[in-house]
Amino acid sequence: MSRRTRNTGVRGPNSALTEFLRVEGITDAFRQRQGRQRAGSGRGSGAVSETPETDATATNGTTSLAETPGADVSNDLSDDDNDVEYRDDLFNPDDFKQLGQEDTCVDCGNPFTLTVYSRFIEASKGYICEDCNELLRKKERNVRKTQQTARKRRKKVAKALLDKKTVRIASLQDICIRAISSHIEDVDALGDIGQTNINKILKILSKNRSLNDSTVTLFLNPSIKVLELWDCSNVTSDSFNKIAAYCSQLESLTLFMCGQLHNDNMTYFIDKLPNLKKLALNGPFLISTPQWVDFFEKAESPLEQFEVRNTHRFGNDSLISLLERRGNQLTLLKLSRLDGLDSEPVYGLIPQYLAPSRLEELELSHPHQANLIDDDLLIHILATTGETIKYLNVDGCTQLTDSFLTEGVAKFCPVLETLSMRNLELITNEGMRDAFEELGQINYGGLLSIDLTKCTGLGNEAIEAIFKHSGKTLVEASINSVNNLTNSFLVQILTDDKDESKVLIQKSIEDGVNDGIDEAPPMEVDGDEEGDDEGDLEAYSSQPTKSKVVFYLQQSLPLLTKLDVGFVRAFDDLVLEKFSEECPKLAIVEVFGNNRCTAKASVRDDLLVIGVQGENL
Amino acid sequence: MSLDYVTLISSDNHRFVVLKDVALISPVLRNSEEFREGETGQIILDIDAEILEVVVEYLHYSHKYKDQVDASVVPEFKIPTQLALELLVKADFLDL
Repeated sequence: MSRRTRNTGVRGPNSALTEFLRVEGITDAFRQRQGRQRAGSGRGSGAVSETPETDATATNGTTSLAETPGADVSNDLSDDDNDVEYRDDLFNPDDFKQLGQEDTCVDCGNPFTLTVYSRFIEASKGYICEDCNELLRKKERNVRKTQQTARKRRKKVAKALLDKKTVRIASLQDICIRAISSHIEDVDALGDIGQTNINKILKILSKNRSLNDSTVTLFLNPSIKVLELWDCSNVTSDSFNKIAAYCSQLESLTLFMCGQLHNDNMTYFIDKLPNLKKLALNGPFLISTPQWVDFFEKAESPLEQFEVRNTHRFGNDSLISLLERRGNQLTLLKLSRLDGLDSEPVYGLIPQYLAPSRLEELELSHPHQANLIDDDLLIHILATTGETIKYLNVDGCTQLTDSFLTEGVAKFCPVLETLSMRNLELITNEGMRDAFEELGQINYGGLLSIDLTKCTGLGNEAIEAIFKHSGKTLVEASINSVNNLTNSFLVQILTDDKDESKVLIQKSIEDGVNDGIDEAPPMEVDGDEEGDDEGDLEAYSSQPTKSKVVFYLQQSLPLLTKLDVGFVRAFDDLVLEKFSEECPKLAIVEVFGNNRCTAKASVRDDLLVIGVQGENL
Repeated sequence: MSLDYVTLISSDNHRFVVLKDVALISPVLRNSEEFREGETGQIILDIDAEILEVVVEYLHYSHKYKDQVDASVVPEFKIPTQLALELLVKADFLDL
């Protein structure tokens, strides 16, 4: 018994011999095995079982091994040949049939002949006929199949999830584009399309990013004079050559995102596009500086308009070459984000080569370093050709100060229509005001578009001067992040001068409400307490120490269509409603970051307000 | 799911009566619901009947398969090749 319990780790007192055998690893395994064999063959087991079992010292291994197998053996002796009968007594012996006998199907109850292929059903403890078996097998096969498809679908969904794509129905535009691409060779199949539609389709294809070698060929025909490809990312070098080969009459070529435009293409363009007057390229970073020089020197085209953006390979030499060869013909010059242009003297050459009063559009934006473009350069350029300038863009030339406006724009730009000066933080409120008051004396037309995004130095007076000068003509305006504007100002410029609230303000100023207040900059007023027109005055008069009450005349903005007032904190629901009322053409207002502008403001139905906080989309 | 219907009227005066849920798949049609068209239940479009028919077919197709997870179940939507270009312009307008 002690050996039985060995596995539990608990042992009683042993004899020395038992201990010795255990330490030496001598066990009775061999005898046990032997005993079992003997028991299996049913011979000689009787002798073993006669040995007394109680010998605790167990020097004779046979005694202990006889304990278990011996007991089994005595049972086995009687059942030796009745093995089958023993197993079959699980079910009713009456039902048990030999192979070849008639049996009744446990499923359908029909009689059938039992064969080796008959199937035994555990649940109903009986065999089923061949027909039922066939049905059952079919059922099982279906179950397995659905399981497999379900597993496959689950896998697919999981895979799609991992690939971060959802199964989406192709948009009608994609379907159309696919149809167009596959029939691109067979232009007739696509039906007639006019040139306006061509341009529209080009834009749609660009928007869908599906302009590629095959789609672009649709638009190349010898008669076109203008070609605008707004997204050439997938158009290869070969196709650019095709443009020149097919459309030799081209006068204007616009290629945006043309990363695959190669030096060889430019060489090809030199003599293949003799009429090219306008070339606008965005991102042609494979064109090297010597190639640019080569192009400007050799190209036969009467290039008048040149625009290049986003390439570090348009270097100083390229610009010098452009100015030397084409400078006096240029009517449009746009240079933006050209990191290769890093010499101030080279920029300084621009006014020297430009023909007097010829340039109409000028953009010098986002230079490599801010100090490359300064006030003197701009003043010099405007003095030369400002008379004809309609479009001026100096975004990101952060070095420019007030004198660029007062000495340049205000004095030399009588026909200016568009002014874009993002991120000019050094421009002050007073400088801007003075400049526009002066500009009014030469520029009678007024601006159509002005972009003052992030000109954080500006305030009420500057904006008032701009509206006073250009309010009647302004179509687009951005005063994004000009956060010195006050609520009172925004409300007043849109309120009738005869309105009670404004009369009150005027009266209070006459009464001396501002007496004793220093010339504190009006920007201090944040308009926190200003709820409505009447409230303004009370708020002001109740805290005389804070700020000066200022009266602003009403400005009319009859043509204003698009306004960006993002991050102008004083712009609230009331002002938005005022703009909605007073500007009949206003169609889009962007109010990102104006947390006092809520969905509660009631505006015209056709006015789109973008960026309202907490908006339900 | 509502059982309201909207009438889409083509430029040559063909009328297509479709379920509101189906028409509203197009964001442009959805937005026009907020205006006068929402009251009359009619949307007048500057689209030929020939094109509008395909558009309406696509709306139904898109409505039928919008919740389908398995891409292999969704059949291909076929369009007449000769209408492809014009259809592209209109599809861009309807933002489909």
